[in-house]
Amino acid sequence: MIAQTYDEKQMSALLSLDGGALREPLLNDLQRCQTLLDQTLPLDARDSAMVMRNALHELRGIALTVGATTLARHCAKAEAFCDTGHLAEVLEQRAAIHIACEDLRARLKAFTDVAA
Amino acid sequence: MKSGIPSHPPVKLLLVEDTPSLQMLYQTVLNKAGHPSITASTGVEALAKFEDHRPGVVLLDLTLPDADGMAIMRQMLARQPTTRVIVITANGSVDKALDAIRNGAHEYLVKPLGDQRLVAAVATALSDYRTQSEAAKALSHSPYDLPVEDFMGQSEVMRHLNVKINAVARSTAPVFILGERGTGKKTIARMVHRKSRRAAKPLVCVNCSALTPAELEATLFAPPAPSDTGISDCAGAFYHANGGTLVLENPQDIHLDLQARLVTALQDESRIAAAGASPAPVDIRLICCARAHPTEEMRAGRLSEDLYYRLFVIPLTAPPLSQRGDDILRLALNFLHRIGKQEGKIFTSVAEDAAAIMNAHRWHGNMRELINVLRHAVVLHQGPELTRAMLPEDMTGHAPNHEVSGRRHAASGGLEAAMKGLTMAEIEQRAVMAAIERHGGSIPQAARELDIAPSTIYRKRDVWTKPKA
Repeated sequence: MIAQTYDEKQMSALLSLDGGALREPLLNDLQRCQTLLDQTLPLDARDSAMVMRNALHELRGIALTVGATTLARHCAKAEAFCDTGHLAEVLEQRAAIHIACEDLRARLKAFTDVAA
Repeated sequence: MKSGIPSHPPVKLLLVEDTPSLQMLYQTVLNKAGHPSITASTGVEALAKFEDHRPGVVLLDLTLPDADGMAIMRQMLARQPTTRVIVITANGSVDKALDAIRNGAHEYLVKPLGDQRLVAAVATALSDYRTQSEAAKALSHSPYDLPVEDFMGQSEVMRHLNVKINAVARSTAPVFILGERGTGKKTIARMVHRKSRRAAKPLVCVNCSALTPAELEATLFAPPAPSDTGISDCAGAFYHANGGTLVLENPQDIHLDLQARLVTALQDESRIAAAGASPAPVDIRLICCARAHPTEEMRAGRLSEDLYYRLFVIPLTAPPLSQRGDDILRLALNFLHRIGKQEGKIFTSVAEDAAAIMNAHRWHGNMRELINVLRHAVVLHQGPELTRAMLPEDMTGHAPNHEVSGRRHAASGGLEAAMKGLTMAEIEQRAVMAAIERHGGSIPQAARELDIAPSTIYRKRDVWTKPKA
């Protein structure tokens, strides 16, 4: 299991904002992006690759915002592979992204529980 | 219809972000800082809301599900160059940032956006936008010059015109604005300039019918003094407008010799040469305004064919007030407010019966006539409501009030018999000569009364006094 790194201060500040109102929308967006990444096959179809790239970009934006450093790094790599057409590498990154997403979701849920 | 005083809303902020959680985050942070925002999640929605709200500041995510954010930004700036666009991206590359700035972005923010950084960027952009808007308002020369948003109104005909103005503003082709007197041709010219890439450069207007040929030549082409580092006050409009827009009112009144010089200047890629001086390049966008249709003026020999084809490229028509539906009342409320302020009175609404009369009136003098009617009402009456009784009697259909409308009724009564059997040309000649006589021979005063250019009277009088072959 690869260790996931987070900017704890950034995450804490974000999740405390407005009484934790952002947690649910963040969880929803993560779920939506993950679903998009899982469904985007076959990758060699141009449209699928574009959907994958957009989902990766969106996920990276969320990761950067909540301070999920490892997830953001994986997304950036996968995006770059999408741009250069290295599809096998994109699929490799996708597995790592999936793990990082699950970890982040668990974190967000835990934070919700603590706050509650 | 009763309506309140139109107020000028605060600068609007449009937030374009497709990820719901991030949109919510930015909106929350901005709200807390006192900057409420309108939101959009797609490029299409963003452009629609931009059209509807004309925000002063846009916070724009560069990656949108249906469009490239950079293209959206370009479209927004083409529609309203004064808007400040702050782009947001997860991609922190210098190339991307430079590209955004080159395309007109005000600022470039990379995710994650710190609260303070986001609020500071928006505050700076809002303040920048306000400063520029105030400077633009200060350029208004008349107390009746409305902000363009108020002038445009919401009627169908003006919405169509606005679409055309937006398209024309992106081009550099010459524009010819046609319209009856008082329809706001110069305001439309200002809008084209303000929405163009030249908005930050000068806008220079020259009324070609108000000057003698020698004065007009100097006004247009006088070179800057050789010792000057900048543009001297005595330099011509072509130099002052360099990089910006030159508006020529009534180009058909330019003397034919001077028209030839103008053609030379325009065909030589606007390289202007004063007598004895070497040509200097200038970069101007030309807009003409006139009541007379240039095609008819060309056929009548008053506008040279060469100049006609250089000026009459993209026509725009300023619609008469009578075609503007509910805009009449919106404009009336605006003017009532302004005139009331000037006269120390408060007018806040228009009574239903007055509104019905105003909507049905033909408004031959368009906005100028509307302003005169409202000024008359404000000066003679107390507010806060404009009622039917305050309108001139020739509008309400009561017995003629000679102080107010004597001229019109005389025209429709006594003159009617006198005009019987005369040709249109003869009627025109009599009307003009009578006006000159009423003003003790003063052609400029007669021209003002008839609302035509003095040069038109001079030209017509020359024809009338020439012995017929």
